[in-house]
Amino acid sequence: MAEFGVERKDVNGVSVLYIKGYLDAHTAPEFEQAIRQLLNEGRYKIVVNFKDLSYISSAGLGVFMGFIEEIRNNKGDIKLSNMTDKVFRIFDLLGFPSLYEIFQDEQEAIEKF
Amino acid sequence: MRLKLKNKQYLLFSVGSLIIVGMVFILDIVLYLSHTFPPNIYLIREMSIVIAYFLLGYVIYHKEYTNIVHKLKTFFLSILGVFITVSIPRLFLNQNYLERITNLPVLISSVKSLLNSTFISFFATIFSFSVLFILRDLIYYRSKKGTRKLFSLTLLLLVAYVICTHFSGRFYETAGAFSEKTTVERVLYGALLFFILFLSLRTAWVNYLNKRQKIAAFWGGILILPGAIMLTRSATYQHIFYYSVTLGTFDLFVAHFLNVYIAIALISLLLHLPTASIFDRKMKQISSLHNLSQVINSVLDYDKVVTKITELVTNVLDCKYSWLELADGNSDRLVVASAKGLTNRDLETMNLNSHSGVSGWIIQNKRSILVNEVGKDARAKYLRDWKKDIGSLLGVPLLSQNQIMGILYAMKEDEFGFDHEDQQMLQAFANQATIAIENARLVEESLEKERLEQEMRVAHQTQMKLLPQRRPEIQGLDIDAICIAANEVGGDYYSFVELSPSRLGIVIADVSGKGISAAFYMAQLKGIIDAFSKIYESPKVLLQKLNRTLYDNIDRMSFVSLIYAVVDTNKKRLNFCRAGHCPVFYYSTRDKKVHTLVPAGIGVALDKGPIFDRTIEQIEICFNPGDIFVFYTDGLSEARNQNQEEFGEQHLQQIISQGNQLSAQELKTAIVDELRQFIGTARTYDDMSLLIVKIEETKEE
Repeated sequence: MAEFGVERKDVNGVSVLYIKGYLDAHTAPEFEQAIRQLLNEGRYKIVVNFKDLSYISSAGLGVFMGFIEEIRNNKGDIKLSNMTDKVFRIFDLLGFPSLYEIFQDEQEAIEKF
Repeated sequence: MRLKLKNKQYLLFSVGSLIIVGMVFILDIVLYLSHTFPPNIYLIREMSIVIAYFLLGYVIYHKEYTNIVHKLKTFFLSILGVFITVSIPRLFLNQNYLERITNLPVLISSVKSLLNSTFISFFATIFSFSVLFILRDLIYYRSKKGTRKLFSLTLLLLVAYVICTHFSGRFYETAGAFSEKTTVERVLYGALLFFILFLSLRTAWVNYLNKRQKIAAFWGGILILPGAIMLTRSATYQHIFYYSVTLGTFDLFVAHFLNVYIAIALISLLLHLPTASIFDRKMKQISSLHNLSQVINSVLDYDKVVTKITELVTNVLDCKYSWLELADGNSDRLVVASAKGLTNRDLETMNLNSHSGVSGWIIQNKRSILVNEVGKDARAKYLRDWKKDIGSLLGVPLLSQNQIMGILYAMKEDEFGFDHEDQQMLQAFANQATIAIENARLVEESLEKERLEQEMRVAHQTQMKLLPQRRPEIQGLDIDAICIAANEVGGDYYSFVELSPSRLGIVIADVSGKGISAAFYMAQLKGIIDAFSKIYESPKVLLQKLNRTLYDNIDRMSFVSLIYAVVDTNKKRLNFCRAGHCPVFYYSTRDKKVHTLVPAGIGVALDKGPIFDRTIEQIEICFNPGDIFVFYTDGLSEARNQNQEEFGEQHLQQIISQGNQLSAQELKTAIVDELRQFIGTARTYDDMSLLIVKIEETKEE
């Protein structure tokens, strides 16, 4: 099982989080902390790049839900990009496209802010 | 038993010696009355006295002392005691008595003087014995073998000296004044004095007294020394010679020994006094470190360990405040774990910050800090805003594998309250504390793990109980379902609601999250659906209501994907909505194909209501006999084998397609068998649920 990992890149006012591997109940806290860190720094414009994410469980999806209210209340947003078909299907089944903006490309997502 | 025997022996010896002393006294009276003194009897008398006091000495020798302080107290008291005992008779006897007594033992002047000399000899000798043995113990304190040999040699020399004194016969010459010592006696006595002096240098016990005890011992010695010297010089002491030369020689020797020893001990005490407090503190530090290691080994309760640490710090460093800050689990913030001397208000108003100030400095440098003047040090100045009475402070890091685990602080009101030794000491203390805390944490973690496992078991049981215990009996429907729990409990759930004899509500859901919370939401879900299904006929309306209700009662990171379907066997229709759940596979006999039904809809409790209400779509299927509906959870389609390959939806569809002639139970078995074979020995991380509804062929047709 591929190790989960999260890396961060700040592009002007937008922070991009690159997540890779498996995002499930075990690794969700790590992702949670990465987002918490951004919020602590007052960065509410977040793009999550799914390029290297191979799997996401419901606990992983829960992380997005846990912060979205706070982020949107602060005039920010989480935008998602570069999902593989498999990951997109998980998001799609759950109806995430009606809750989040999902982009093919990271740059596209950044420009949307 | 042994102790009792010993006690009896001591009693016997004491009584025996008293009887002998009494007999000697009677003999003396007889001799006095008869005014004769046969020399032969004298030797027997002397021997009897030696035996009597030897027995007494044996008893005194075996008196036990708890510690050195007890010993010194006994020492002091016995000296004082004998001084008083020996002095009192002098108050009652006139000078004449003293003159007359000089004729003893050859001529006894009166019964009164006889009584007096017996009395003085008795107490003075008991005293000498106890003094000698205590001196011996003091000298032996942490001594080497040589000292013991020297002491024994000294006693042997003493015996030799006593014997010599007897043979010199200088005490037995008539008429008062004793003659001079012989040369042998002088040599022996000189050697004795030399040995005494040498033995008296052994005063190691002084080191092990604390400051208070040292001062007490010093003044005690100052008080006693003149008395002890006076005793040896006084005529009273000479009475013992008249009573028995052996006792007199012995007692005088002990008295000299005592004088020399006290004098040297006083010098030693005097030399040790200036460093006493430092020595004291060192001892206290060592004992507190020892205390802490004991705490480590005995106390495994985390809270007790941290409380003990600050308590010991205030104790050892003699400071007013101490507190311990520890890293708080996931974040790198430091949180006060325990404090001593601080009020709750102090703790609330504490303006410590792990990024700046003293804590920041310690974290950055991974070193301890000593601030002598808090008010003048830029790093610590801000602390004055918090507590005005802080003069000096010490802060040491708790390092575990070179990572800062916490910081231990000690503060005093005085400026320059700590020195570098304190700093080192606190660091040593912190190192020990780190181990203690880590141990306690490990224990707590394993307890926590056990608790979690227990929680998982309870959650699993709850989940299993919430699942229907029997298949619903609805005419025209062949139903079977299974939930295969994962190694770690997931949140799968399904249930049936018998709405009427011909209408059946079906729920299949996957609650996000695991363990107790998932089981709890499941129970909530069951309650809400059971209630709403009686009120709302349309699955769409029911789910909209369910979403709003659950959204308010579930934590933000949790949500539920579910399908609610209503099968009507009269109307031959199945209506259902999909709220973010996996598709429904529908095998239709009409085209003999497996259709994937994915009406729009987002998961329950993701959205407050508007988006959910807008997106949720209800679809209706008109079914025929032989049609099959397969509901499942993603745990099944996403199940993996050891090569990390997914079971997949197509695989599932394939089995359904092939097994379209099977009953619901047979189809279920076929799918589960295939699934189990696929997974093999791989670990499952999510529950896998399967629910099959097959439309039975009606009898009329």
